[in-house]
Amino acid sequence: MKKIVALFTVLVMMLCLSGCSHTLYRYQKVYVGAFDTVITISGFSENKKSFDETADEIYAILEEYSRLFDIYSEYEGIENLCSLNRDAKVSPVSTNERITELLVFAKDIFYLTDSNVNAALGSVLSIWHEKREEAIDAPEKASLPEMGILEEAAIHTDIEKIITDKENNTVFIEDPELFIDVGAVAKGYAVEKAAKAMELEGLSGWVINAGGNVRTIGEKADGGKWNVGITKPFSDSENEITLKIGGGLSVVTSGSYQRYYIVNGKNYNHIIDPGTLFPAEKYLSVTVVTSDSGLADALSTALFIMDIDEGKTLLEKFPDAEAFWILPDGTRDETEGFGQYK
Amino acid sequence: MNKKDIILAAALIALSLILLAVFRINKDVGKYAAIYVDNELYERLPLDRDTELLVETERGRNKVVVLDGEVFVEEADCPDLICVRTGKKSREDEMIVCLPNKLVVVVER
Repeated sequence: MKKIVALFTVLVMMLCLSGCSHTLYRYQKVYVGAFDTVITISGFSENKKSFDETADEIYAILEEYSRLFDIYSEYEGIENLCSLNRDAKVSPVSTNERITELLVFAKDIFYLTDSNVNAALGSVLSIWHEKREEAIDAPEKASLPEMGILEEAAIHTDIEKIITDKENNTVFIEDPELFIDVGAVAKGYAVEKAAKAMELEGLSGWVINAGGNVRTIGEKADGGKWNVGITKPFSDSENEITLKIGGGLSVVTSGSYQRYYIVNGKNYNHIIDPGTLFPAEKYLSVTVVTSDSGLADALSTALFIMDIDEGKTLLEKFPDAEAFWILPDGTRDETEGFGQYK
Repeated sequence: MNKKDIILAAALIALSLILLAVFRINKDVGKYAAIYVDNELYERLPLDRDTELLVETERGRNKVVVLDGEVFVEEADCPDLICVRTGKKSREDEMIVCLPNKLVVVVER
């Protein structure tokens, strides 16, 4: 009898040691506001309080970038892209160095993506934005923009007319009708900045998910991978597939189901093809996995607009980027190296 | 090993299994529906008590209901009504989000 009790006690202790020896617990916090989306931050910490402090720190970085890159509203005390779009048309204006840095990045992206991701497309995008907003308020009155108006706006989308001076932190928009819109890169860019700051602080095993823009920070303590689900298009909570993602990687999906409005029963999504000036509709979604979240964000938009063959050729320039396409009929395609994440 | 030993061993094994089962189950099912407005905690509702809470802020109005261990938004004044369509949630980390009203309901342990 004693033997059995002793054996049981030892077993219980072993279980406790294996189960309770980790002093780190997993927590999660959800934020809304920055970049007009839901931001989930999860990670390991000794207690809820210290987790919340770090999560709040990450969110504060994202919120600050969100305000700087906001083109629709201004905030007290900061010169952001909204005020820049208005003030920088006459002569160069001095601005925040993070804005000039982003605009330089956006220009690089324009050339890297064969001009499919254009931060100078604001005049066209704002027309669609307005139509989408109108449709939310009055779905029965939803309408499409006139082609003539879109074409007129498209004249004013030359990215070289955005003149950035990195040394003096000034920006000059040479075309008064040109509007900067960094929607395709800003969120990923900001997530990358926040993640990099946390990596410097030695954070490990954390994840930022900014509205489907996922970035892992450091490796998990147990060396395992994260399960990152790719949403099944037009479903609420189902996943198309689940990826196995290691530390220091980004997963970004561009989907036609994310932001759209309906005219005469047809969906019009928010990703506008600069070639047709209409929403791209070749795919339901395109997912990109690569280390830099800003690049992943831009590439997923570019691939969403491009033909698969063109897209695959484009990706040859980015050896560590892999992609996964879901076509309108539900079939899938992927790059050769994508299998490593499945 | 006499009869008592066997009974004791069996009882201990049974107890272990029950404990294991309890921990397993509890791992998934949340205990609270935490309601956040503008990223600040507004209210925590225990999931084992049926309640209705009208969350009225300057941003808008959402009616949060806890029923049979599940939480959902029954009605809201937001234009997209995504929060209402999200449906019932009860598992840890599951959430309901109303972007226009900056309301988040998260199932917590």
